[in-house]
Amino acid sequence: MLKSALALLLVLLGTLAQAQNLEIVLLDNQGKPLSDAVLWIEPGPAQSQPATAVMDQQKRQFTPYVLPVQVGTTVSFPNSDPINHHVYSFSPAKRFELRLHQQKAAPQEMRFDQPGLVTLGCNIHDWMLGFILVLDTPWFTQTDEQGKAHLTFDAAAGQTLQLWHPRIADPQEALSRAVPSDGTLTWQLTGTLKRDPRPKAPALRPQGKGGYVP
Amino acid sequence: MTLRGKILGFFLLLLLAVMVLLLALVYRSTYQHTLSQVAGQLNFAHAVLSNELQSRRQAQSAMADLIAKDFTLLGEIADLIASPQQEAQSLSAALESFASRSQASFALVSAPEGLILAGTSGELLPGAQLPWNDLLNADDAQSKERLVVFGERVLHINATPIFAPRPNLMGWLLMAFELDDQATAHLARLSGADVALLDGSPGQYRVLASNLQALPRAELAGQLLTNAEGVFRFELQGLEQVALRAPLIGTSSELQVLLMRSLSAELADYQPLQWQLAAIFAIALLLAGLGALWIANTVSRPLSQMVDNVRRIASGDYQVPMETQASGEVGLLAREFVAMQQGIAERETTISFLAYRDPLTELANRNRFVAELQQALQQCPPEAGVAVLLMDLDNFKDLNDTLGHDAGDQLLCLLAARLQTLLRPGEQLARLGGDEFALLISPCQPGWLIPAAEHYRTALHEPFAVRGISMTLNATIGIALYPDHGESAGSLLQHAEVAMYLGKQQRSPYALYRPELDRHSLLRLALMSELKGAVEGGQLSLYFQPKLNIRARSLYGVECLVRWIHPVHGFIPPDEFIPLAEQTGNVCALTRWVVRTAVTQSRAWQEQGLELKTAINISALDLADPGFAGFIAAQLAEQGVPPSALIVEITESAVMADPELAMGQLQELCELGVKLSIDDYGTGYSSMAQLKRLPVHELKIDKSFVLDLLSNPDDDIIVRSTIELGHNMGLKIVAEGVETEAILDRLDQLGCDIAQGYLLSKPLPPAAFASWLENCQWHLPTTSTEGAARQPLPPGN
Repeated sequence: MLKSALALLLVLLGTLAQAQNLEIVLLDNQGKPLSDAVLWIEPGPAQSQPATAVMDQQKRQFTPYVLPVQVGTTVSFPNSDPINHHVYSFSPAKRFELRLHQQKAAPQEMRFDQPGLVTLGCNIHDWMLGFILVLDTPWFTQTDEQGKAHLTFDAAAGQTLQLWHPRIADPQEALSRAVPSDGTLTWQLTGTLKRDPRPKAPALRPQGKGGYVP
Repeated sequence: MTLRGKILGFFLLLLLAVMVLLLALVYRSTYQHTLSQVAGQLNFAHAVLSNELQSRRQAQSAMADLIAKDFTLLGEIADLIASPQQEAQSLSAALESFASRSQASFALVSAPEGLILAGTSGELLPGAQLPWNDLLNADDAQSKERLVVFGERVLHINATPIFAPRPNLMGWLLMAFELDDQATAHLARLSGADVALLDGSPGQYRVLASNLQALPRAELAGQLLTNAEGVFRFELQGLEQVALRAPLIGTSSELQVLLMRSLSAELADYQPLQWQLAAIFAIALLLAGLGALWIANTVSRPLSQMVDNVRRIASGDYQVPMETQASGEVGLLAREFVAMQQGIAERETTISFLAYRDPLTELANRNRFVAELQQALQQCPPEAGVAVLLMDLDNFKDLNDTLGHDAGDQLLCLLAARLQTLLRPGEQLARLGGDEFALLISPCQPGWLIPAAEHYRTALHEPFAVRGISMTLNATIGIALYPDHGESAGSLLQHAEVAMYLGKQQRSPYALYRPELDRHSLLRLALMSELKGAVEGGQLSLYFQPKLNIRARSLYGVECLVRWIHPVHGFIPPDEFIPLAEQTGNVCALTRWVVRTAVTQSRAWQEQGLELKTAINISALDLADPGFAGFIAAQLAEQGVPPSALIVEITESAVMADPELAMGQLQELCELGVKLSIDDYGTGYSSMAQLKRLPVHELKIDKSFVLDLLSNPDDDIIVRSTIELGHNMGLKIVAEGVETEAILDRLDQLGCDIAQGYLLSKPLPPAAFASWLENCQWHLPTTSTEGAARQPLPPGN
């Protein structure tokens, strides 16, 4: 519902200003589509409406894995699992901790006021990893399974297209480029991707250094 | 070394050697076994130690992991990062708490790059860089560990990344667990070996941690441990240690672990066994020694008994009862000794028999006789005497030469047998050697001597039959009586011999010793040695006896006769000392003295105008002197005496002793111009035929024919025929022993040329002869140059 409201708003804004659409296909250096990448246009408009977003806990994972939000967005942290979570962030952009103990209770909320990357972890489940990318623009999107993404933005305000993905090593790639004029972009990455930082969830049987089998 | 000692020594040494060898083997094998056991234990200990260390590390890593994820800690770190100017007190306090919970020595938190943010270590302070930066890798952030030597401590360092969350590296948690003495003591208990952690080089080790006490620990530091890894031995605190050295897993330094077990302590378990063995060996040695002693005694006691017996045999005791109970070889030896003992006794009887018996006649020999005599002298009572009768056969040598020695021996045996039958109590018979028998009469009175001699001479009354020849023997008995004629056995025998020779001389069947006889015989012995000195010392002088030319009744010449006036004994007749001179080889020197003196005298007479033929006597030995003729020639030439003035007289027997030698020498003298005369003609066996061959000028008829010339018709015939014969051969005839005018006249009738004798004068010393010449009733021949004028004669010489 929120999503559709946001889309409506964008449409409204686009109609108000000079709305431009951009179709992006993101490929890794192997030519394979890269999902979960965040693309956004900078700089954003001078004024923007705060929004809300949800970072759910499902099956001991942060869902979604990567959540891009505009500055000022309040993100609610529901717990869809029957177990407790202890979500925290020590990132400078937002340091917090939330004890998500009741599954059915109202989701706890957290407002993100500073732009930057907030890395989420769970103090109970070490392997849980999630990102909230706080952006100073409302024009952002995420690639889908085919690496495709769609952006509608005001071409008069934003000229630079930015890219972020947890597997891209920062210095390796030029992660910003000018917005193409024809509305389509196939962005192939040249650098090798890092491995997925998400630790593997443990199997049911306890394993590790305390075990009897080395 | 005695046999007993050898047997004992051999057995004991053998046993001792075996025991020592056995002990050594036992010790060696227990040692080796213990060594290998200890080596095995050390390897096991090493495995235990490694495993224990590994477990600890894992536990510590797990602990560090947990701490690194502690939310409080993360919060503290985040706080510190958010406000770096703030002091790290609360983080340090948190770390202290964690370190204490995990029993870590200290805990640190560093930034991802290694900059220390906070910690509990006194040495590693905030703001400093971690010394083990290589453990930290932001790109591959994971837990790492290592054993390090930090100062003097051995630390187990564990570096664990702190994520907030992964892969967001917030920093590093560094925990240090010290492996101290307490920890090594625990390891030592677990592994059952002494444990030391050390680094450094041989001789300068640092013992960083050990369960050892301070002293062995200090000594260990100074050890020169073998460089080889694995099991080795060394000494610590005087105890032998077996050690295993290995590097510690998970360290990059020289850190090593040394595991030790005291071999001495392990071997101590075997000490009772060794003592037991030694005790058993000592007992065995004692028993073996006693056994060997017993065996040695069974062999050596009979032997040493036999040695004693043999020693007694050696000292002359043959009555030793030999014990022959011993069996076996020793008994056999003993029985052989008995046989040998008997053999020796028998042989010694034979030897002593031979030593004191004359083997031919089986009478006592000289040794035995002397011994018996000595014994008799010792036992002789003061009023009694001991007589020695010495019987010597006459002409036994001739008999021996004629019939042979076998016959002689046979004869001696017959005589010995007869003499033995004549023996009476208190009398003993012995054969002293050759044909000499001796009788010992003890006791004896002087009155018994002659009857005793007569008694034994009866043995000769009956003729002896040897090889079918019957012959009668004669013997002379010399008698000496103790104590009148000698004090000792030797002197008695000698004196009896002297008496015996006296008897022979007197052709008497027996003679009793008289002291003067012996003096005479002793004198002879003394003279022998003095004669040479006499020739050189002027004790000799020449006497002159004149010779008459019968036809012309004028003095013809003189015969020089040597006389010895001994300074002590006075006049010594030539009959006595000339044979002595011949025997002692001094006769040549004597003759030369005579020649020199006679020629000098001849020269003196010549100077007085007297022409006297000077005659000298020479011995048969002079003819054997090759330089004799030359000496005479030299003397004559020296004094200027014509050779014809010298007459050399030589006895018939001397010429006949070796006619060939005499011929040569006489020929030489004849050629010299010296006249030669045969002395004592008629007493020998020379034939005219032999004389004819000699270059002789004169014959001197022996005085025995001349003395009785007038009364004995035979002598007249001999003298007359000799004169005729001599004249026919062109010889001058000299008659000796002319004592009366009647004889001189008769000789004149018979045509004899020259006379010599007491009618003219007895031999006169030079001075007396000179005065005789003065008053001479006969014509004195004068040299042709000086006419008949008389010259005064020099006094003496």
